[in-house]
Amino acid sequence: MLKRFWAMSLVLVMVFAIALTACSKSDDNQTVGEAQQNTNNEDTKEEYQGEKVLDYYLSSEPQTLDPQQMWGQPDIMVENMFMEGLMRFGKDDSSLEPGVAKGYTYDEASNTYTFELREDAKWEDGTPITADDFFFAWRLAVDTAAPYSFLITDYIEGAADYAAYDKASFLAEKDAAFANLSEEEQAARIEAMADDELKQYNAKKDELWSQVKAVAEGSNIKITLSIPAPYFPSLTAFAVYTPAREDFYKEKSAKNKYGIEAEGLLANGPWKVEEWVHKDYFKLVKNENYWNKDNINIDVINLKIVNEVETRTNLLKTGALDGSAIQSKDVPDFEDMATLEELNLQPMINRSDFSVFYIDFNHFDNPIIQNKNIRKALMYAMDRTSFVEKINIGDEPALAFVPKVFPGLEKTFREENGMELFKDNDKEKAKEYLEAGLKELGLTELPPLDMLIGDSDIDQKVGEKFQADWNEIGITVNLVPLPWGERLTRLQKGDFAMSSSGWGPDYPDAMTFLELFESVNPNNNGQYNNPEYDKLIKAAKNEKDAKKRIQYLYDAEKMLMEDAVIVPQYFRNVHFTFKKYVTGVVIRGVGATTDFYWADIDMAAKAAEKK
Amino acid sequence: MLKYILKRLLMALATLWVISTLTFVLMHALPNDPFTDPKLKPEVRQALRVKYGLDKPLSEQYVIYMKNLLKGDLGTSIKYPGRSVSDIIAESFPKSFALGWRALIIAVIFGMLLGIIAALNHQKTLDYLSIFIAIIGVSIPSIILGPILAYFFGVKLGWFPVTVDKSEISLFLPSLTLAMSSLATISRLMRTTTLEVLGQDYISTAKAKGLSKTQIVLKHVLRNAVMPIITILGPLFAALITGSIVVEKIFAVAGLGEYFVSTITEQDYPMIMGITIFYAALIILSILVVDIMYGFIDPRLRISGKGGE
Amino acid sequence: MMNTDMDRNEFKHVGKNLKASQEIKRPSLSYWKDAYRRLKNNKVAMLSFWVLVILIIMSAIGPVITKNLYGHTYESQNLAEQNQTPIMTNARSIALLANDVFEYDKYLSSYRKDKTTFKNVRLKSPGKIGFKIGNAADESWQGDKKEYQLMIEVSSSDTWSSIIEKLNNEGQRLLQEDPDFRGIKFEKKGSNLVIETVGEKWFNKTHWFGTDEFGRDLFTRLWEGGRISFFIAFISVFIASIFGIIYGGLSGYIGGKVDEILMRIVEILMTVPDMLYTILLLTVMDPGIKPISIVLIVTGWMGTARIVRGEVMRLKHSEYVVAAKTLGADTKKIVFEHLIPNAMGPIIVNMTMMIPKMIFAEAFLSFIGLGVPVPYASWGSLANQGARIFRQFPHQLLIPAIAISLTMFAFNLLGDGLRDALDPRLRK
Repeated sequence: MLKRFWAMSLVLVMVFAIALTACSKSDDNQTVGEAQQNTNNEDTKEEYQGEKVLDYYLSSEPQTLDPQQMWGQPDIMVENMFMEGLMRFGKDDSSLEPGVAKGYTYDEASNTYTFELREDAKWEDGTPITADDFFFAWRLAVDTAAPYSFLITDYIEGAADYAAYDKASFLAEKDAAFANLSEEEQAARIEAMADDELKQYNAKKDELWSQVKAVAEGSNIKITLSIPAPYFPSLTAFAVYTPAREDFYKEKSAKNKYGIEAEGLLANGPWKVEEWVHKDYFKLVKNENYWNKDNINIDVINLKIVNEVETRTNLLKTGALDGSAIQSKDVPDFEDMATLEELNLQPMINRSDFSVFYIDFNHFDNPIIQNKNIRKALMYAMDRTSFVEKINIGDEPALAFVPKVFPGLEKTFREENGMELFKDNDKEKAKEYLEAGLKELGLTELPPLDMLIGDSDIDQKVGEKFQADWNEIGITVNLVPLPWGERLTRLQKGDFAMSSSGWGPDYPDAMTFLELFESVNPNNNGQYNNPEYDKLIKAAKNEKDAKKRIQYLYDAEKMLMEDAVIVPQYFRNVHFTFKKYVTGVVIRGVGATTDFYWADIDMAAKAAEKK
Repeated sequence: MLKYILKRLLMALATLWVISTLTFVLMHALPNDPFTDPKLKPEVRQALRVKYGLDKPLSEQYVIYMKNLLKGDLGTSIKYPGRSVSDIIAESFPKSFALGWRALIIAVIFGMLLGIIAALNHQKTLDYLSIFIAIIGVSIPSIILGPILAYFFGVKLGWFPVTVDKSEISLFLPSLTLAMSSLATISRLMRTTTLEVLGQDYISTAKAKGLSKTQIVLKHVLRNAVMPIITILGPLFAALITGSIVVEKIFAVAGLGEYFVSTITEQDYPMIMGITIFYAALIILSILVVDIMYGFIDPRLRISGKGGE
Repeated sequence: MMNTDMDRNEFKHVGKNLKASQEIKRPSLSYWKDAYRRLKNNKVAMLSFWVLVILIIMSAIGPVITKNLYGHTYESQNLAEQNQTPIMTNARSIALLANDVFEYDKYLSSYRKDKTTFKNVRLKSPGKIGFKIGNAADESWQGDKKEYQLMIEVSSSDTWSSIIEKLNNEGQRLLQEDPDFRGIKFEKKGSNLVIETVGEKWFNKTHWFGTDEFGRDLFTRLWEGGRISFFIAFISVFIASIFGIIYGGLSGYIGGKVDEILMRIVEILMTVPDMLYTILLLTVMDPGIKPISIVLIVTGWMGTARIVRGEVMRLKHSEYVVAAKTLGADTKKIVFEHLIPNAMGPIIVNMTMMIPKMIFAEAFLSFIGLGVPVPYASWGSLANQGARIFRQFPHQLLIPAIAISLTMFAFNLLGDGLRDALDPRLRK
């Protein structure tokens, strides 16, 4: 019986197979023209009526969505969806679009910016946005010493004085003996401040705040700066400068919800957060009270939180996402049009994210690495080109410090100050420097050097690659992978020779990179201390003439490379791809990296693909 | 029985106290603190330290922590400012739990099935085949099995979603990955105990009375062989729930395991202590429940009234 | 009928042989000898044993072999030979550059992309079809940095047959221009378009198991990793067991209040999630083999302690211990000369089962980024690296995965065999 069954099945299968091949054979003789006609005859798609839904992802759970307190990337990306400052980031790196303000004017004589608020700017509940909402938010940021509050205190006149005045300065003013107390006694004294003292202190704080040169004038906000900063308007697009409404803030803070649950977020941007399930997903829907809602095309944004890159690629391939960043390992695969077409994806967007990765040296407690020739030997021995061609596919070798395509004065900073400030992979020169360095140090052989690296996959690869390069010229480097906390402790103790670091810009001006090595900068990990360099940075910060100002920055960068203060590794590029039915997505290097403000989605095509 | 349960509960509380103290000491023995992000300025770091009470002497911090613990307050997270640790656990644990119990069921059902099949076909092909399957289960670590399952069944064949969403089917791949090693453990245990039971006199009697094989298995073998399985259910369940870190990472599950790893490396003290105490309580509870259950099921222990010792 | 009568004289009285009556005909079997005999008869266990021996020997000599033959070390990089496979081919990869002409449902390719299939193709419109053949980044296989463009124009009067012909002709032309091109073949099989490039296949003679991303020899790294993984596993099991034996032995022998307290401590320590110890210890110490081993010891000894305690409790009232006590043996002697050796069976089985657990634990640590520091390799870190890249280069996952699984398999089966062999109740 059974045998018969199998025999029958076999025959059936064969018949089918023959039938199939027979069918397709006739297909071979069909001309392209005929086929084209056939496809054109297909009924035109129906107009899609429902909501436009975008499915995207976040690479990690935001730490907070309190705009004043945030500093990480996924946080800022979401913030840019539901919040809006005076201005907002434009379609390219240097342009700005009007936000809550219609525009601004600048008065050079008084170094004052005047922003004109629009009348129809509203919160998601329909109440109008006022200048006070901005002032409340800024004062809040300064009072809580928020991570990015320096974007306020460093620029607005009077804000630094306001921030510097604390209870200790109040008590010291009142009572000369206070300054002589020990630290603990001072703390105890502050703890024990009487009610009327607190009242006086608060009054004094209010008075100082009233002296901060950010004032409302009718529907305008006038801001006077303490230093010349041609890029100031773009700062007003950052999260820390967005408004916050006092009553909402107080109500939600009391319930411990502000900025950490969906109900503790008050939107004034194009979308509002409807659902936030921690570590899982976000659902944002269009804000019907947004002034520019008519130009916002996407109705719903779903953001799935996915930490692992491989998982994200899987999601993109199964069609669960409408786009994704592509990790360097997958770049060759997604460069193949066959893959893109199969998954209905657009060609990859490939651009710099303005991050530079480099090596910090111990400039304060390591006689070997303090030798300039040794540092230069390390600098010239590295083969960055093959690293970005074979390992971190798609990145750029860094032969200077300020990233490629980062804006300079008129063109990009790199075009203006030279694309390459030194030569990549020059082992001969490296050996010469090494010899010179050894002679200066009176050594015959270099002892092994410790390099601190991060614990991520890419950090380790960077370390492995350059370790081999240095080994080639006879320098032994031990890699010490550590989580951030550990690393920082060792950096502060001086227990290292080198440390692998990275930096992304805080604002769109080269100063954000070059001020890192000012002796007072807290992120100057190697504690490089050169009065000449400090002078250049200070001069640039106080220079009103844009041309002179940028010249100081050019010189500063050249000094960095000349002294091998740090050694650049690579400039990071990001690769993104989106489904063909998604258009108008903006990818940028400063601020929110992915922006759907101008994006649109062809839902009919999306629905067709889902089938 | 009641006295026994009470005694065990008291013991559990004492254990929890010791564990929370131990964790507290361990945590604070670390040389650095959580506020190390390079974007934070030193004065900001100091302000945060004051806010979380990390500037106070250790003994004072301990007293404050224990007081709050008694009130059921585990403090607020440092990495996710403002979010209370209890809320985070309450929100993410159900997701780990959803995977855990499914994995347990898969492991128990298929593990027992494999074990019985193997024992009934002692030293025949089916026996070796089940052993083979069971050992494969313990031989492939989830860091390898997870990505492979996700790729083949998720991406290539498209049968299952590659991450966990609201649908039931999306829980299948992660649960299976999680269940594999426990499945193997159970099946091997089941095989040994079933073999032991099959050698007992009462089975021969049952056979002699002419009971069919199915009846013997269902009425006699299963009931007696299942006892050792129950004893390991507690620790197994705890292991499945606390051990889901890899699976949670690969399948993007917003569970507790992921929080645990990331908060430990980032030294989020309140989170680490909160989760450790929670996990410990969970482990103690599951062992306790199983012990008590055992006391009710095992007739010998029921009569003597002294279960689980 | 047969005659059954026998003559008494045919028999002789030999007398008593006292010596022979005392003799034991079968050789006396000690517990260990017997266990060994039974283990030897267990084919599966013996096979596992030999597999393990081979794996361990290879870990010892593997890196030495390749070092002497080719000069490979676990850390020597050669980017020009990156991502090679055990079986090599110099066929060039195929990538679609432009396509106006046809639609398809699915795109399948071999992982080297030297053979691709477009499933269920349909003509769409006239225009260009273009392929990129070869890739400068594939230098490590194709042996050069050459890339070719193969492009044809399709008009509306073309059919599939003529398109295929055009493509093949273009391929021929490229081959004539430059023999290094090696050739390409387009074919329509049923409704599928199949493209294959021509190339030789050979066994990778210098890198038997291929190479990784940095062009490091995987054969060398695998066995180097084996050294580290086995070392970590053995050392941590050994130390954890010794500690567990002493702790459990004392606890069980002394009993009473001491036992109660000691076991309570174990219970408490077991309740703390392993992860916590692990990560805490690893953040205090510099990464490396030492902290990982310590972590595994710290989390591993408690199980052994419980087993030993149980065994000692069971054995301490047995006759021979009572006898030893009566004869005046001191505690130390009784515990270490009588109780522990008799509890050795379960201890050995436990140790065998612990080793694979340790290898797993080490792999897990690699997964969360706390494994052995690069460029060192362990099986865990190799598998973890491989899992990240297995879609592109499956061999980089398969090779360490097989090594791990084989070890697990062998240790588990050997453990089972040992349990059977060492359990006197199963003696036949």
